[in-house]
Amino acid sequence: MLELRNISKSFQDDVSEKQLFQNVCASISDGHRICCTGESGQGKTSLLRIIARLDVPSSGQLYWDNVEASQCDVVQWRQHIHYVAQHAVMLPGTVKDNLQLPSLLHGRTFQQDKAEYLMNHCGLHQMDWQTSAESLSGGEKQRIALIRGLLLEPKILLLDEVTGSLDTHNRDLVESVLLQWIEKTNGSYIWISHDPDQVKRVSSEQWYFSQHQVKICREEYSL
Amino acid sequence: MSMISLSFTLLFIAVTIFISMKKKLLLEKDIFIGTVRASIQLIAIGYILSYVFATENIWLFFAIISIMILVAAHNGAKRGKEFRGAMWKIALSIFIIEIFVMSILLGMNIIEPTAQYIIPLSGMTIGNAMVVSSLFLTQLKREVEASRGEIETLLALGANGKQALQSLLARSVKFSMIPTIDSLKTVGVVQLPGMMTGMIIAGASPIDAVKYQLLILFTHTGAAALTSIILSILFHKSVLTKDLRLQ
Repeated sequence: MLELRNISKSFQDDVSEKQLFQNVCASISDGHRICCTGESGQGKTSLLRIIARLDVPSSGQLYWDNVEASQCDVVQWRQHIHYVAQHAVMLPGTVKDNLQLPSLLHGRTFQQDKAEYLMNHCGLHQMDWQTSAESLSGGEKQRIALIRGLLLEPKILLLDEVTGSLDTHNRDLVESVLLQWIEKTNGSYIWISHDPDQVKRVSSEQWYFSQHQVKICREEYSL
Repeated sequence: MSMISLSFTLLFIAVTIFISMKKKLLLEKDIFIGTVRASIQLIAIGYILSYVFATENIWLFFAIISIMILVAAHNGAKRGKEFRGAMWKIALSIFIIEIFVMSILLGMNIIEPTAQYIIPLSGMTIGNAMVVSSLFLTQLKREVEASRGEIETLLALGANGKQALQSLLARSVKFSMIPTIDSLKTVGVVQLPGMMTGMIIAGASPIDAVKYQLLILFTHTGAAALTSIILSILFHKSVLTKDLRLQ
């Protein structure tokens, strides 16, 4: 289980110190479906990056199964808790190179069947895997980045507006892939979304970012 | 060549200053200072070398080579002010290269163990390593800026530091090697290198001059590759924090 204990983040701009959020306390256990909402600039992305340990909080601690983050190996941490960025970055090479990346990095066998299944269910069944990943459209890159993340087999996914560049059909496909993933693996996600309908569809808990605070509500909508 | 005939070459400088004034390039001051500095530095090193060659004092040897390494490292580090301890990292890599090159040249009896050979060849090796270091740092800075997304994507996928920086460091190493490889390809066709030209003018046979020039070229190629590889190992930790985040 992941725990956030009094996480605060502020940053120094040219004039003064700006507070993003203060004393965020939360826990994320198996099967949790969380959505982060709130106006832009409230620190949603920063919180996700802190959870992925790509950034550090100004104060507060993260715990994984009651062990403080600094005591956990960061490489393993990021295998368990994977951040999918809003602007998907493709590594040089083909689509297949990108899909194989998690297995290459961690010396595992590439799960071709699983990759094919995910590609098909994310609306990418017609894509040539030998295509240069850099030449893909924004929406295609976003889905490849998500599939690449799922092939890492994390326990928690941190999703930063991962359907932002998708049309409604592909957005629905991605949503159902992620809901199925939770059902099958008992994983959990924290998903940043600006779409109130999507929040209703995909979350059982909502974190509202407003005025340097994060309010946590548990509202289960019927799926 | 007499000092009087040498001083006639200042005509070239006078022409440059004249053009600069005429075309309002505002380079007169820099050209004047550069000319004075170059003359003083070279005349001074000429006298120092004459003294060292005459005395063969080993401590003086080390002092001169140490100063060369420190000045080269200081100059090379100007390109990488963002990286902590850049000067010492460059100094260490140039020191390793100097030891490596001299061990081969002296160990295999390619050159004689006298100041006359060691100091000029060290100067060329250290100078070349300095250029490689500057290019490496320049490219590393550019790569870190341009590839932030790539590095973070790899880190987010659980890459370790080596995996996350592998291709970026490889590109920086490759970039720093370009001038060395280019000069290997075009030497003798496009340009006659300075050392070889100097030897021929001083009266050595062109074949002897070519032999020494080849020695320099091969040594420089190996040294350039090694310098940039050592730098890539030393600077690997300057790009990422201990807990594998971008600095």
